[in-house]
Amino acid sequence: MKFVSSTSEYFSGLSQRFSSELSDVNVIQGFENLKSNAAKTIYVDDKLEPKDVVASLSGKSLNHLVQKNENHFEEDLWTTGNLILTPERYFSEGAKALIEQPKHSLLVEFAERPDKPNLKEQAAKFIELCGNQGLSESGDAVIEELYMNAMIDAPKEAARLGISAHGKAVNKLELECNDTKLVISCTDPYGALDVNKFLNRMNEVYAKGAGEVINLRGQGGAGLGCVIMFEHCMALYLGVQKNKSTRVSCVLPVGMNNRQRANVKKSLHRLVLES
Amino acid sequence: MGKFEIKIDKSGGEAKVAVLGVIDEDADFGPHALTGAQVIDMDLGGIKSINSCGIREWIKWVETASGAVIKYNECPKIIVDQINMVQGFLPKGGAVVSFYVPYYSDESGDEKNVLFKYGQEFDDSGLKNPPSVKAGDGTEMEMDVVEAKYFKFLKK
Repeated sequence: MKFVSSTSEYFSGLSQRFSSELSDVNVIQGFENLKSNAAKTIYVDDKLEPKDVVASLSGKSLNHLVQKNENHFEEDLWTTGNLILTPERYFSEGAKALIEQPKHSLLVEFAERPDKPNLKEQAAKFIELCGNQGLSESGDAVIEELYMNAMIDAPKEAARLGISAHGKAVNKLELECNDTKLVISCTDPYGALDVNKFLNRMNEVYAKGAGEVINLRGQGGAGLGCVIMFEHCMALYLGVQKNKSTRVSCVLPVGMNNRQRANVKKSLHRLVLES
Repeated sequence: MGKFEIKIDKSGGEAKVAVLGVIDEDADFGPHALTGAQVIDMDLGGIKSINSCGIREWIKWVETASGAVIKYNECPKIIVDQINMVQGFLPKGGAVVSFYVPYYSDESGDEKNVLFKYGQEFDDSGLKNPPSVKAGDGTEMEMDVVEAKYFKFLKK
């Protein structure tokens, strides 16, 4: 990796592997150092509020913003660098691409609305294994929105675009956890998510307030799920293989109380593969 | 998963309402319009979770009580989070009478939800007299929220 920072010693303490490997990846700290073409770039910070993180990707060429959190920074950088060079791993390896040495794993498939109680029950039991009550509440909130995206929003958007399900319309919820993080990842078989539209919507919710922009009409989403997920997680990955699959993943910190979790800085990633 | 349920007991101009279970895309508020009552006392302690669709349906539902005074009792954390995040979740003329605050002990890892009541732990001027809460091992527990965020609704 190549590091550029306006602050001396910002990247000190990183292990040797970062200077010797992933040499095509640029790691930039300080917006003044960010070039207009930010492909193969990770922007790094440690002071951005959630709305500023979203604004840094929405409408910009930057795809990966990683914030510095103790005990996570090195792994987050490494994971992101690998995803920049081989983004297809995010879709083929699933949640495992975002976590080192998971201790527990769960995969639940769901295709119809009556599958939801079973999905929620299995996920709740799994998350109980990983952490405390606060983690369970956050995990539940994230899964509710991932389910809504996959089960209700994605088929509707796919129908609008004339995309049919790739194979049988089965969605997958994957959970992986170790001592420091819980990854919750959901895949649908359409690849219809417009990631830029999703980011713009997040930007709008933060800029105007959820109560101002909530969609009070219709049976679809209320348009708040994007921000609800982001508020509960440490990192949000928005991935789409166009016309093939959409994978949205949330990473939650483990081993923290609510107050500590609320102070964790958030990271955001966009992965778009043309089919 | 807790099944969504609403119980309404109307008497004169007052209504006592209890909301229980999961408020999601399947929650049907349609048969439970709040029209007719001047004062609505809601018990929200039985709510297990709420998603973005549920938030939307909730806002539409409380709007059916236009003009009434709505009081929210025993709000769990997930409801306090929505009150803070979504303008209109607590309607104009609405008030929180009591809500839960999570406490945590770093030493023992114990977690507790403590009920804060209007006039005791908070009032119109904001938070006052937060209680001392002990864990099972007798150690002092701390409020497990970011105060500026969690108690934001008290200043509205």
